[in-house]
Amino acid sequence: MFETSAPKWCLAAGLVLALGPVRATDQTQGNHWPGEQGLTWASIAKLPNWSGLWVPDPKSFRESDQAISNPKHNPYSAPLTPKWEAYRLAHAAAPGGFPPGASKANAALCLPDGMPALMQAPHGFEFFYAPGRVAIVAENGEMRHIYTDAGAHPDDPDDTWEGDSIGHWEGDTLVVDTIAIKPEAEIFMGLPNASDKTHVVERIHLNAQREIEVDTVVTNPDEFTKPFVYTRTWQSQPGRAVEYVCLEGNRATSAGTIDLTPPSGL
Amino acid sequence: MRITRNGLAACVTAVAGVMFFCAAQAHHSYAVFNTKKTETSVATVRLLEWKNPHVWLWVMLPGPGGAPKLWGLEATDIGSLKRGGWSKRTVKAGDMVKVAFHPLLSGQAGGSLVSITLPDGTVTTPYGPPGAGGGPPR
Repeated sequence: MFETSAPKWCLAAGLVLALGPVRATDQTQGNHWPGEQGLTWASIAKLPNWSGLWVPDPKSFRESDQAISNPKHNPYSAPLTPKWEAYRLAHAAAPGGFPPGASKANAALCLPDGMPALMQAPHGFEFFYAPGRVAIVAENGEMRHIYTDAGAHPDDPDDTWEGDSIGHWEGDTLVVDTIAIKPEAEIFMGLPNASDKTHVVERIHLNAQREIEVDTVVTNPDEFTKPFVYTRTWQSQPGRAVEYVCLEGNRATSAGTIDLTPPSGL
Repeated sequence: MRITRNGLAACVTAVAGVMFFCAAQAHHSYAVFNTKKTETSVATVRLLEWKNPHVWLWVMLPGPGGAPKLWGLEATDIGSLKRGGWSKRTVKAGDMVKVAFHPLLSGQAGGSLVSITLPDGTVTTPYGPPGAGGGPPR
């Protein structure tokens, strides 16, 4: 769990945060980290095997799902600035999270969660490797492309829902640095990114229980008073991924109500 | 199916209600449902609408004076249901079941499915057998 691994990864994350995201204009293009980096198929064969389906553990999910409405003693409570704390409170008035008519939940409108909220979404996830690439595919169709051969972010990248992600391997840990996230993407359900200044550093690894742990540091000076630090846990799930097309039967409306029109024939 | 037999439907309903309240707001706000109220009723299945983001169970419930009325009860998504042991054939049109649900605050004929007693007497919830933990619903 986070408590036991925090010092080591926090130190590394702190260093990354202090230096800021590496951009292509720096003298560090290309992945120059030691050890296997998955830049060839032979190298990929020596990387940790994370194949199969992973789902967020229920406790971790519930806590992060309640972060907007019940932040006390919640490990997923964000250190919000006064402006964004006021936003959270305004949307936490209802017991379920955000009252009808005032919701800002991308999922209800079949929009992507985006980063970093995607990593808490209650979907199954799979990892796929290719030379110089790691993809994280969620059942809802969102996919993260992590470029392990880049070493630096492109100059002036377009903002996207999942952001621009570069990564490298430190032994059995995949370290991912993500910037250029659209403000419309969510920090967690119901809380958008305040601006495109969100910077996410994740250290992804297997813990002693053979669960995927995603140690995460999120910064955005427009939204947080200090780095938002948390660990997310995914559990192995037998079976295949299940397709999830939100628009096929979405009955949630933008007004926060439910469309109860019966299916044809009823 | 991995659905346990359990005769204590009321207890299951209460526990499941708490779990559902805690977890089921993921896709949309749960504030539309009256989570402080759980209604139970016998029901005749019309359709298990096997779609995302939520599977809907359409049933006929006894209305005022006994006249049946169509109700829509929201479950979790297909993935959560399948991981909880459901399939598209768990119920079919004409099945007599017992349902527990949180009604819509709006007063419309809809609610959030908390648990269901199947024709063979087994009880399950939208995220699997009671007490099994299940995966997080969407």
